[in-house]
Amino acid sequence: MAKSVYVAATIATIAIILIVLFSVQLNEESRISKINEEVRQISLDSELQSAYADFDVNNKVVYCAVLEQNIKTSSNRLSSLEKTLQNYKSNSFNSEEFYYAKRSYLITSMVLYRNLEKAKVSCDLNIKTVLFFYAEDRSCEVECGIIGTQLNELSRECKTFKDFHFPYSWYLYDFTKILEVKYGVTESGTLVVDGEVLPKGLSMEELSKKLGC
Amino acid sequence: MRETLKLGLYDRGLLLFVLAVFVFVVLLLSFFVPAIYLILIFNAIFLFSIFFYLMLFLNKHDLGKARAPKNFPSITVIIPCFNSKSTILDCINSVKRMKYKKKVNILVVDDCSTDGSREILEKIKGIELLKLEKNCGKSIAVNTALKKVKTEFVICIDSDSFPESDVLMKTMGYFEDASIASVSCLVLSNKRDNLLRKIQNLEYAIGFGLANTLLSSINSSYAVPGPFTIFRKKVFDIVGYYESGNLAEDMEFGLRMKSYSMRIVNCHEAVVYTDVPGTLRGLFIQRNRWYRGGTFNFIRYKKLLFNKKNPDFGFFVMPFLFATQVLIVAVLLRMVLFFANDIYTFVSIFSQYISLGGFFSIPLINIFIPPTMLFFLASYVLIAIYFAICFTEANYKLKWSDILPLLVLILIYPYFISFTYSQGYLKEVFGVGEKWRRVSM
Repeated sequence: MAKSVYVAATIATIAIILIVLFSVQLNEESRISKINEEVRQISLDSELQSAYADFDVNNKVVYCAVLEQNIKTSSNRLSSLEKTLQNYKSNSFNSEEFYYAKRSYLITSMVLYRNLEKAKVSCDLNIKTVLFFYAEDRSCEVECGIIGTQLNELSRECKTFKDFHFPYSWYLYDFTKILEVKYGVTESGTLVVDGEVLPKGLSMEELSKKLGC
Repeated sequence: MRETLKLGLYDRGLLLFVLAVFVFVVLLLSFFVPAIYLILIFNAIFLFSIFFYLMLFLNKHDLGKARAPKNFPSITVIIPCFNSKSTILDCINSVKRMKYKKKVNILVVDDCSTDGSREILEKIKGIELLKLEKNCGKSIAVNTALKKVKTEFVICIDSDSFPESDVLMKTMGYFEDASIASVSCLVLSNKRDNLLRKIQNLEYAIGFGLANTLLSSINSSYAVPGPFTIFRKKVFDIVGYYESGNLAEDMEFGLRMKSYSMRIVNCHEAVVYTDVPGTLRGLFIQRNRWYRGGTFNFIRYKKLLFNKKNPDFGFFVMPFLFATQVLIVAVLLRMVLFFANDIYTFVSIFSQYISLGGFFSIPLINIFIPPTMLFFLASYVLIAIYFAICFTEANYKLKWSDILPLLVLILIYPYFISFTYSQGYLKEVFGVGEKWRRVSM
């Protein structure tokens, strides 16, 4: 008798786990599709900016107005997306989906950053661009945590800058290496403001001053 | 208070080694497997154990019911008494009220009480009183009485326990099956005057009720609870007496019986009430004793592991119980380590951040219900089903006032038990001394 009990209990356990996993999968698919939709929307905005830049760069009034508007909406979307992704990462079974979503997010961030840099030149946009290179592992937990929080705090009150967060030398997203090379970033926890690498350990006031707040 | 037995260096080393292996595996998984998968694994283990009980129930749902005796063999009830002034009279009266077609001998052993119990006992008629000249402990007190027993059956009962009057009429019929050596009953809390006692009452209704019956259905029950257990007298002639100095002498005796392949069954329709700790401190002391004794006895009877004579017990129940208990300790240690690390990180960030003059804020957007909740939900639904069956089988009608203790029992109490078990295990590993203390008051 007992053998059949062990088998039945094992089958029942597996069945329940599969049912729950299936529900989780459905739930995650809906979440990841929302994330992908957001990324696609930002990507479309970036493409629109590129199209304006290619076809109508001389008509600064229209081009710059569209650009400014798009950058604003994309930036807002991007920052909320970053938080969603972070939540997704720590609570998801589907690491592959997360990898693709994060990859799209980072590429979109890079495009947005490039557009912003272009707009600064073409449209005299008065905004500082900040690149923050954090560590994907726990090697920069304290320092990166502080910088991340400082940037969050400042970005809530101060609209003079737009920050972009990229993982420092992380094998899964090695395409961001181009930014590290361009600005000579050699370690995680580095901030680059308007192309200038900032010294480490800045206080809130010092960082605020650097960001023009 | 008496010093208790300690494990030898080899057994302590073995406990430490097993724990080290579990901690290593848990830490390894923690670093290389996402937390969500760990939750999945632990949930699967838990789900399996619940399903196992449910399947046993579906297979043998007629077990644990009352079996009236056709014959009425002679019985002696042994009551060891030490400073039980407030309960001993009620205990003896409840034993006297037990219905049986033959006279039941009552043998009370006073273990050199100093609170006036002896004087009370001396006035009670219809009992045989043995007086020990010095306080020797429960095991020796019971053993002294056992040596005087001439009847075919013996009942060992704690002096703060009170059997219902129909206990014998519901249980003695089991002994018509010659393979049964011992019968235990459903033990419930005598008092339910505070939250802690209500929680324990529900816990007992499950643990000493259907759960024990189901284990006995696969010959894997090793519980011969102190509050009330009936034995064939010849059990003691074969396996010996209670071990003195053991923190959980009844568990040791149950395991010893298993090592002789003796069959212990549980009748959850027969009810015995007992005093349970009313304070958190009391409960902690009691459980510390139980779990230390449990660890001690499990390692002492490691020969029962993978023993072919008791296949269900040796190949599943004992390894599963032991492994899940060590897993609890390992997970708790992991939690402490990770928590310490998190605290360190938090304090570092906080102090540095404060020194930088910033402020913390928790964006509400980050809070959401993780998918792991679905696993917990599935587990809780199964727990609810299993508990409902347990209470129904124990004829325990849930009242509205049981809702809060039940929620605490399911949601919070396991953490307390895990902590108590863990510290008991670690104390046993490091050979920290312990004294037997009575805490039921």
